[in-house]
Amino acid sequence: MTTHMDTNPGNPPELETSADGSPVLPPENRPTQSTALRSLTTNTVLGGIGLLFVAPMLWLLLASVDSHASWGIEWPHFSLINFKHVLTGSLLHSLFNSVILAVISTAIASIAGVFAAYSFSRRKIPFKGPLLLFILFSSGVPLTIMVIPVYEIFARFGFLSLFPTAVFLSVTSLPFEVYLMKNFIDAVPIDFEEAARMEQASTLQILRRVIVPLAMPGIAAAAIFGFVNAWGSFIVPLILISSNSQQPAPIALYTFLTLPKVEFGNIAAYSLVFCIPVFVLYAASARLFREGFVLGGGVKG
Amino acid sequence: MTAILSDAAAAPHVGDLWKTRHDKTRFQWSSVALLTPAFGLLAVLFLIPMGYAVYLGLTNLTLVGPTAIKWGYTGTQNLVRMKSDTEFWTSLWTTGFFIAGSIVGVVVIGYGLASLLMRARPWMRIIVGGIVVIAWMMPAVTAGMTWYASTTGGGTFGTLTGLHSTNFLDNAPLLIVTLANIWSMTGFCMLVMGAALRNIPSEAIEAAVVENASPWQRFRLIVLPLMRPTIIAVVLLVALLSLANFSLIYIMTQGGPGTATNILPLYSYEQAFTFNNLAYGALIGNVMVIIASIFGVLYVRIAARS
Amino acid sequence: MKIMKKASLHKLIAGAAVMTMAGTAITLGGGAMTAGAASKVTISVAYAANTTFDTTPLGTTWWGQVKKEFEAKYPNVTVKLVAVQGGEPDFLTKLALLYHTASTAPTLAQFPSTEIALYASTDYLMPMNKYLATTSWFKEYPKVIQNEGLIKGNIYAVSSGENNVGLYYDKAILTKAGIKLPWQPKNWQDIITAAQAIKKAEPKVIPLWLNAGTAAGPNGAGYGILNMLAGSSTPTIQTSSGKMVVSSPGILQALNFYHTVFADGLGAPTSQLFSPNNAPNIPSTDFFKGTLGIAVSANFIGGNWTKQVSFPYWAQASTAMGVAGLPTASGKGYASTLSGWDYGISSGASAAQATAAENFMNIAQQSTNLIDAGNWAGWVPPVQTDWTVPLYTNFAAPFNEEFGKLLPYSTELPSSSNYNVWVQGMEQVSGTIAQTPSTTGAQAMATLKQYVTNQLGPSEVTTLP
Repeated sequence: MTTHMDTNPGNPPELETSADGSPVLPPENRPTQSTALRSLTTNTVLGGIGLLFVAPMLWLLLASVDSHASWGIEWPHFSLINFKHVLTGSLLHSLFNSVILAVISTAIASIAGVFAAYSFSRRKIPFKGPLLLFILFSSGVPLTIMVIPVYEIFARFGFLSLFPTAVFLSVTSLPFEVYLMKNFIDAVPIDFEEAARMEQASTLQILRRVIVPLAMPGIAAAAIFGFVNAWGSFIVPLILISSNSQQPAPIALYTFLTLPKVEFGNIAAYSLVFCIPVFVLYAASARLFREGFVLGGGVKG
Repeated sequence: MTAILSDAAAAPHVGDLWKTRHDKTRFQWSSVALLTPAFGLLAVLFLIPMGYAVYLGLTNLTLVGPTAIKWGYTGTQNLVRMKSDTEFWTSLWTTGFFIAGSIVGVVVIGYGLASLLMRARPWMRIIVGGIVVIAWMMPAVTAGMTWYASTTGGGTFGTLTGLHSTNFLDNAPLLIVTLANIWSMTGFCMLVMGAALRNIPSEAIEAAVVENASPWQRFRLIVLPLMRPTIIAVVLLVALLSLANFSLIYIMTQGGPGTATNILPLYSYEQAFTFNNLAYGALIGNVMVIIASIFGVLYVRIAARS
Repeated sequence: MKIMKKASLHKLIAGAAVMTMAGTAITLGGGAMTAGAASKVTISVAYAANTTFDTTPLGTTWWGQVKKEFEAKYPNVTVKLVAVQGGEPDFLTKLALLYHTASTAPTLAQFPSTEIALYASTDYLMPMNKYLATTSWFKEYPKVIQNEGLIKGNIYAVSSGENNVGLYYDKAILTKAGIKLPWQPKNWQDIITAAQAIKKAEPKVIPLWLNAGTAAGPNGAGYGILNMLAGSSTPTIQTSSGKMVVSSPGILQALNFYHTVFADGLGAPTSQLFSPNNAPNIPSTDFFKGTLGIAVSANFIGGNWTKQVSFPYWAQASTAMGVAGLPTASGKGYASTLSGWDYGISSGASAAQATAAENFMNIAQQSTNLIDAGNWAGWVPPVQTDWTVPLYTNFAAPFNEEFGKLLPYSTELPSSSNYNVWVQGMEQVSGTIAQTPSTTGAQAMATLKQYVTNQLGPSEVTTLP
């Protein structure tokens, strides 16, 4: 789904940074009156954009702790009762289903992905070019078109349940994961492997001892991508899971909207709870990179 | 993840798609074993369904009704139907608007944020950058729910603009869902562009400053060409993701009101599961694949030229 | 290396084995067991968790009540309740998906009457003629309700409750507008006059509620524009040959009525009409708040104000609100659509399962349960004699009684896959009128004609002179 990814040939030269992370400019470029004004404009514009971006989220935060929530943003009657409502019974079970779905999907995709990525990276494969193009192409195919034929196939074999759906979800994130992992494995110097091979290590051992540890940031990133992909999947479980008790959280969330009596506070609380694993994982992935989750060019790590 | 993309963007070579390691020249059978899980899964759960989708598009399979049991190949019947289906062409146009709007919004705002954040105070960087990234991280279902709450009558938008009872969502549905889509994708673009901007050698900028180039000239002659691969990559990604967008719009409008936000994935779902025409829905899906392929081919062509 | 190859292959094989076993387990668990009086029989019963009963808990209570009674009487049968979540469009999609696979097809299902012909034509349903002849309650159904599930001599589904439509009005608001009570408009013009008077006297009140748009699913039109069509000069929706009527004087009349109402600003705002939160129920909240004058709505609104349903609870509803029959355009009698929720038995059920399902229905249709269902789901019970039983009439007095009286004036809605498309088109154009009131009836009808012809093909549509 992304571009031709190349290995990193080395960091380009950067401006020196001072203690707080802002670039130290050469004397000719120190801020003057006009640059101070520009800085004010910059920060104002940024502040404005930031506010625009945060506006929709306000409801999520305010309504979730409001015992008398509505669609509007209003000062809440602080209460945690919404969280209590959504973390019980079938709603909690749906979250649990989501976890199962995402974990199985990630496990399958990551394992298959590492094998394939290693193979593409290190081995001579006939038709490697076309195969990689095929992988690139398949990551771009919209998921919604796959749902109908997969539904037909799964229906015929009685696979309309949680585990087969998880397998299908793993396939949907597999191409991008392979791509991502391949690039990280490309970056691992060949010397370690050669040393291991001299000690008669099998491929499996090389993978386990050399490749995976060294390419871990990329593998973890790919796994996190796969997890988030499966976690947020909506149309796939909507169609492919027939049993009520196996529905994952997104379906439960959507159902909220169609009830005659809208439980605003519960919707907000449930949405918030649903987001948390995603945030946690992305934060964790930021730690894995030395380059860090670069917030527009300054903060490291 | 972003570092990889940025570095790739900084030094683009299409030929590197299939970069081989020079240490391995012999083909090993174990390679096949390594590839089997991934390609086995892809073959069974991707290739076969895709082929089946192509076939289904030319049948008369329905979800309920007589042709749910006794169905078969009907040749070009569905294609003829599609040609005269005004709903389909409307949906195509709506999808085009949605994709184009999303691309423009994401790239412009993403780039703007990336370049502004470079010059901003650190705490501003963390806060604003953080907010934008959080918006990107949110699962589509939650984003859809949040935007529904904000734009419906009495929601956040109403409160902030003082137009309390205006139902923004129902009055300008396509615009609102496009905005929601931009909101949910800008974070990613900002990160990628930020990394790419950092990779622009400062000497080039300094040289331009020395030669009294205006900011606009600096942008046009130095930044833009160096950013070109990144921009093209982001455009492709936004296009593909917007083309495939289902959950966000479904949660917000279910394709309505009427057919105002019925982009192709939603129209395909409507045909397949509301009108029970599984075959016709599959055909619309096939059209989506063709469009996605066109994007892919265009991308490879344009990227190769740089 | 060989070890690894085996490991990954093993993994795949193991995975496939687990999947097959899981699939088989589901099949065996929910499917047929060989018939033997002593052996265990399992049946699955599918119903809409959120949209049949007025509130989800009431639904859970009712089904739990029936299941308990059944299992006490038939201990060798296990009942698996399948409560399908979501709004009505989602329920219908889900049910179709469940029926599509033999292993997930519910033994007994409850679905809207408009879907009967669809499921029957797919051979999903088992004819029930023999069974119904043995029951005591089927004879008590009015003929029109008996024939609800009748297709080519076979009865594929039987009603558990009916919805019909009438006029609700707020007595205080109408009095303020100078309208004499009790109000019974004689024709459509009377309704418009009353609405205009309300608008003049009380500008902040919505004068007339007319369902519009697609948000409520196929039943939305049944509680809305299709009632005007039923009272028009040419009420035909589907000809006997199965063609959908896309252009007729009746459709034009109905659409023109909508146009007049919305163009004069007499209708409800689209933020309410297009709400995905079960828009047809919104009038009960609006009436309670005193912001609605008249509503063309279904019988379940009355039940919404009871304590059990509490949507919202309005103790004074019986004195504050009035009910009137919906007149025809010309003034001869009343008009209303009739649609119900019906039971159907899966054609793939074994003999033992079918018998168990029939016994289940016997218990569900027994008088107390049937009336409870009517009260809690907002239905008129299909058994005529129940319309005067105190359990029913006292529940939401006087509404239940009034709508029971109006039931004989109702006409059944069609059921076919073409109808689904037609009603979608009808809802879309009614929504267009609500949103853009300058749209005339003729323009809306032209759009309807184009939309339905486009979707179904010219051979499936017809126009009436």
